[in-house]
Amino acid sequence: MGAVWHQYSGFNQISGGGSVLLRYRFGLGRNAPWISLENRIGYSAFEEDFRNGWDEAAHVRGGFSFNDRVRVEGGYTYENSCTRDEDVWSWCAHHGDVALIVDLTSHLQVSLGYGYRDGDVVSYAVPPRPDIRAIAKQIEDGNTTFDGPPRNAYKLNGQTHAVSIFANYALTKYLAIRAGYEYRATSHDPLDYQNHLVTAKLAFSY
Amino acid sequence: MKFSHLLFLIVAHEVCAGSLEVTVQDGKGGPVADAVVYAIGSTRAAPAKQAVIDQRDKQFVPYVTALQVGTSVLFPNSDNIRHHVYSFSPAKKFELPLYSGVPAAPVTFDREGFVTLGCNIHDWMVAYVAVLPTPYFQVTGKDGRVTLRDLPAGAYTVQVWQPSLKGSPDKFAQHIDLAGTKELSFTLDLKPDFRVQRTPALSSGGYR
Repeated sequence: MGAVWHQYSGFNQISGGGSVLLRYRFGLGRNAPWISLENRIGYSAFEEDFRNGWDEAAHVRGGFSFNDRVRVEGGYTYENSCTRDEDVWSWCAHHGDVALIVDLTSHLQVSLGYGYRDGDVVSYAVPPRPDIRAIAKQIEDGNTTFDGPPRNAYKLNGQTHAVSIFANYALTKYLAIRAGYEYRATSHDPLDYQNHLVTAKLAFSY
Repeated sequence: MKFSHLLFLIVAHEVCAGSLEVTVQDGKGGPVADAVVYAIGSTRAAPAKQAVIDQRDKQFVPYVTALQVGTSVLFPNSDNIRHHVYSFSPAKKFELPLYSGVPAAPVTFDREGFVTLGCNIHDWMVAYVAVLPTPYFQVTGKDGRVTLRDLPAGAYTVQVWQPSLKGSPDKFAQHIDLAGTKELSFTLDLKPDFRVQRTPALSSGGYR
């Protein structure tokens, strides 16, 4: 059975890093097909510092436009996060996604997306859970605390299907507000998890 | 100088120089900016030596340029980053691959028509060039008004073009016989103004 935490501050984090991006356009004009390669390396420091570690993500993305207002893009990402002890908190995953992006007006853009992830997930449960222990790749016994009894952390391989809808509104020449919802369903038989993610952010570029 | 000669000179000036005061508005009566108003008559004059379309703060300046066919245009890049200017328009297809500073040679617009400019790096950068068969033209400001001055007396076809115009400028043409000052008004049928925004976008493929 699932459980709900009102707030869990252990995941609070500060991250820093850098990336290198190479983009190539096949032809002239904003409707020309394109491809990009990006590699990002960073370090994340969590409130629960046993989660601290280096992250690396390599992306290949591409896209093309149907017309001035409608475009499709998609990509593949390999992510690798490594803690000092390479323990249950280290993880890696393969991720593919595709999105349809529509400019409704000069200021308002919306996207509909689908993503698939195959990789490590960490599941927390109060022991004993022989069903999860049997399928776990790595286990951390009782080293995490939430509101309530200590829980084990089990690293599993999981497959995630995600669908999302986002909107981006240009407030000024440099500033946009972005909001969206993503639904994720992760499974590793016989377990399954659902996530509902709501995002709101301000994006600035010059 | 005799009085009769002086009178002739004054009358001759009045006959040769007229002006057109033109107002351009949309279907709701609001002023239309960036509209190119031009009067086509029988006069042919040599084109201006050169026009300039700058790139400043990752924008083309000005947004709309009107010039006579045969004019050369210089595209200086005043930014501290490179731009890649291009046009697919039939009236002038050209490309200035990634450059900074001032390109070595200007681009001559030698065919009548309307040209759309873009930057292959910065998708929101767009500008327009109206290449006209006449030396008598102006571009409206925010008030939607222009005055075409020093037009020789005679018959003219006055037309208006704007980047969002639905259809061809011929549809709105007005034929006049000019002597002195005349006022004209144009009401344009415009498409909704759709311009790619510079702000961060959901797509990661373009420079937006």
